[in-house]
Amino acid sequence: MTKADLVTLAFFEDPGADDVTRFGGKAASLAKLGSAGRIPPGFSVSVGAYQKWIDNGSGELPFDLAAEFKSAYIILERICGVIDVPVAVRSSAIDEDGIGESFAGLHDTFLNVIGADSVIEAIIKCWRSLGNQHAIDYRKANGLEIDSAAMGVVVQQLVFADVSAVAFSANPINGNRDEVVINANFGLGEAVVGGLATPDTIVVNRNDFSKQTLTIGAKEIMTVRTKNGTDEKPVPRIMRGMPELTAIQASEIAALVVKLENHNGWPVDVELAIHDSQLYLLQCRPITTLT
Amino acid sequence: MSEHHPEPKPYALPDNFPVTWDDPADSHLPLDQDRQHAPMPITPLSGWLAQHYWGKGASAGLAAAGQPIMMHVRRVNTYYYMGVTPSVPMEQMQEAGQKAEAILKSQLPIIAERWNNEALPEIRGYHDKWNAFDLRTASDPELLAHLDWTLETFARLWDIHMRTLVPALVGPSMLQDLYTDLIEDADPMDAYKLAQGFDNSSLRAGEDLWKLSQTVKDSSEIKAVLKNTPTNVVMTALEGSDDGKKLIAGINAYAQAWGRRSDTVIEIGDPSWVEDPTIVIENLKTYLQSDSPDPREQWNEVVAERERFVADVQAQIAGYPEPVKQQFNMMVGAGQAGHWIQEDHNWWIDQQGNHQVRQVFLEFGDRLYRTGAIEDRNDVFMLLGDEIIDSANAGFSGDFKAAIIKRRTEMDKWAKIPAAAHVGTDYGSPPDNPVTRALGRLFGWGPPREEAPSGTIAGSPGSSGKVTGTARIIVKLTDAGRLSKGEILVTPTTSPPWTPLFATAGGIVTDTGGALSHCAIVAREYQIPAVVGATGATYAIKDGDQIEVDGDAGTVRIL
Repeated sequence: MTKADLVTLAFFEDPGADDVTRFGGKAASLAKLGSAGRIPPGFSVSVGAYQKWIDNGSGELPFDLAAEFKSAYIILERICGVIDVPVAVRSSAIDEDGIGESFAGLHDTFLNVIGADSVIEAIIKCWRSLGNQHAIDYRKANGLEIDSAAMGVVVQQLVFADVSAVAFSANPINGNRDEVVINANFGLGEAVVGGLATPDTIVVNRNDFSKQTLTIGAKEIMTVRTKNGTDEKPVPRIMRGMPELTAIQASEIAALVVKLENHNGWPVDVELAIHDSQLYLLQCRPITTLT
Repeated sequence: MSEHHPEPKPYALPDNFPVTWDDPADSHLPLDQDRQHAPMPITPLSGWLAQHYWGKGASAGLAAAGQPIMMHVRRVNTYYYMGVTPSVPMEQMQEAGQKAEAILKSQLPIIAERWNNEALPEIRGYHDKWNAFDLRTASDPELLAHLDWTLETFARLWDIHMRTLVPALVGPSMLQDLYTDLIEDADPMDAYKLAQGFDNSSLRAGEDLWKLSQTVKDSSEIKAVLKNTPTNVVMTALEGSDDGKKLIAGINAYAQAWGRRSDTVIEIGDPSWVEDPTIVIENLKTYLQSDSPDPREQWNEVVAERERFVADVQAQIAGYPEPVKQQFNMMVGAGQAGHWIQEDHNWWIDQQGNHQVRQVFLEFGDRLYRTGAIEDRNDVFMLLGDEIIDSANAGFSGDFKAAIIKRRTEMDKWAKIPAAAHVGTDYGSPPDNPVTRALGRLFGWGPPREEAPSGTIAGSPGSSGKVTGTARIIVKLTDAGRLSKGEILVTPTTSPPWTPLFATAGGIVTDTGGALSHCAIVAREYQIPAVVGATGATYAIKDGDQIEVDGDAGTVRIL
């Protein structure tokens, strides 16, 4: 095991926050997004912090790290202008979200975490999820190392999504590069990202955003906020037939993912949230299934 | 409606209820006896009016509301039957249904606005014109022209009725769907708590009558007159004192304000309260025999309960996506508007509309009586509209007396025989959509009920609570005085004119209707237990039986 990196934490816009070896794939890609879209503010916990925790051996968080995380959370409260700002805490493995592999959903994610103590607890849970069996199986299947796997963590303001969407700059089903595909569902992103519900699907022609095909999904389930977390609830029957996105919103999303693809040089798989008509960019990674 | 449909087949009829169709084509209609709106045989003129003008207006209103259905009325063996058929070919039904749903959704947020700003001003205009027309002095041609306008306007009222009622009925029904989807293990009846406690004309009419009773509650003399005098001579007996004269003035003022109504909504042969204040006096008697509390006080509790409940549900869904919360708030508004419009439309359209048409036909009755064509002005209701118009065009000539005796005998005969629930052709269950679900909750349709335990009659929950009391079977409002404080009102159906009785009854059981029927809505406002749609209750329960009404389970037990 190498000596722990001294950098333990960085906000997305800080220099070096886009270093994948320090903060993991998810954190680095968020930092790289820069001004591509409106991104909820947040910070990344480094692999170095993870190693400090491991080196400590007790499973407890070393005091200095706890103090650092606490003050980062307080800074985040100020940036957001919200006391007890609810955040999403997501794992960001070093070998995650690299071109070729996507760990989507394999490591733990905690939504609607409120307060510094709860955030610290969630970070430790993310670290522990590095050893979860699904993730280990996935690593084995993809020929990735298991022992040297290390974990960064992203702490980001939670957008109270009215609608969550996953958008692809190329059609991941048939490989068609002229089609942008958007999946959307009511509520937070878990139901659509985790495939718990059949979302609406909008296929947008990449050369003419006004050409759209909407398929209303069954939208069985939506992810809602609870007092200190989230829960899956049935979408009310009378809302299942309603479209999630307007044609204008679908065009806006299509324009964003095309821009992100051009910026990155590879087809992108993007997570988005819409709250109060504002589109937020939550994640951007390569589409791993295209041939 | 793409799903499988069983082959249409004629409804099997009870042996004592054979049907001979005037028009053989009518045998293809799917007709249900509408016991909720007309439990007893109806007069020929009421049937004629409903078949030709009610049906026409209602179908036009449904079309305007985007609903791909038509309504048909037939008087079969003197009973009132209603049927719904598609107005577009079956292969277009799915598309039409989607269009209907889109129109409906656009109207749900503006139910109250449409009623207040469009429907009500138009309706008031018609009533003003009716009230201003002097029937007595009109020449025969003027009267005929007025009848023509009256019939067309009656149809127009029912057009407005359906435009209004489709969203007003579907609103509360969809609110219930939404509420039970949002709140786990919710009691579906709780959804209506979100919509209760809005002022409406039924409650105001009841409250005004209570206030009238309070003006004489300290006069032992007046109370004695009301208690000891048969209702039909109460007015004469009251002439004897100054207080009595004041009460007469009060009764007349009340009748002028709220009396353009009668027992039921389809029958125009019953006198309205303006013509005969019997029902007003019966209710006064009931209010005075016990100390009925101020309905307004109870009312404030209902309002407070609603506000608490709305806030409670809003708190429970605080973490839900904004579109869901907005949908909930919108549907609460639609449910609330639907609840009070369910009562107000009835006053402005069903009750007053019938009253106006009745007054016009009564003038024809007077003129037919003067030429000797009929024996009594009220016999006009035993004729068909075409017969009346043809006769009037020929100077009110003709002799209908023999035909009237025959028709009256026929009504008496059928009144003793329970009507078949369905006649005509069975096309299977209607498709499941928001409109059929709402109609089901109005009429009390639903999946077949589980076999009720012996001694128990199963209905639908109408209003929460459990009560035990003496059953009082009341079929006509003229019997209202038989109901004593705390007794259980057992009746085929109630309509808004029955509202004052809710302040007296300890509980209510009806043969007909569902959770969105008048009876259920008003029972919730008065917070008395009610079981609705308890088929056969008025036959199975005997007047004076001790019964237990469980408004939550929707069951009635004879003790």
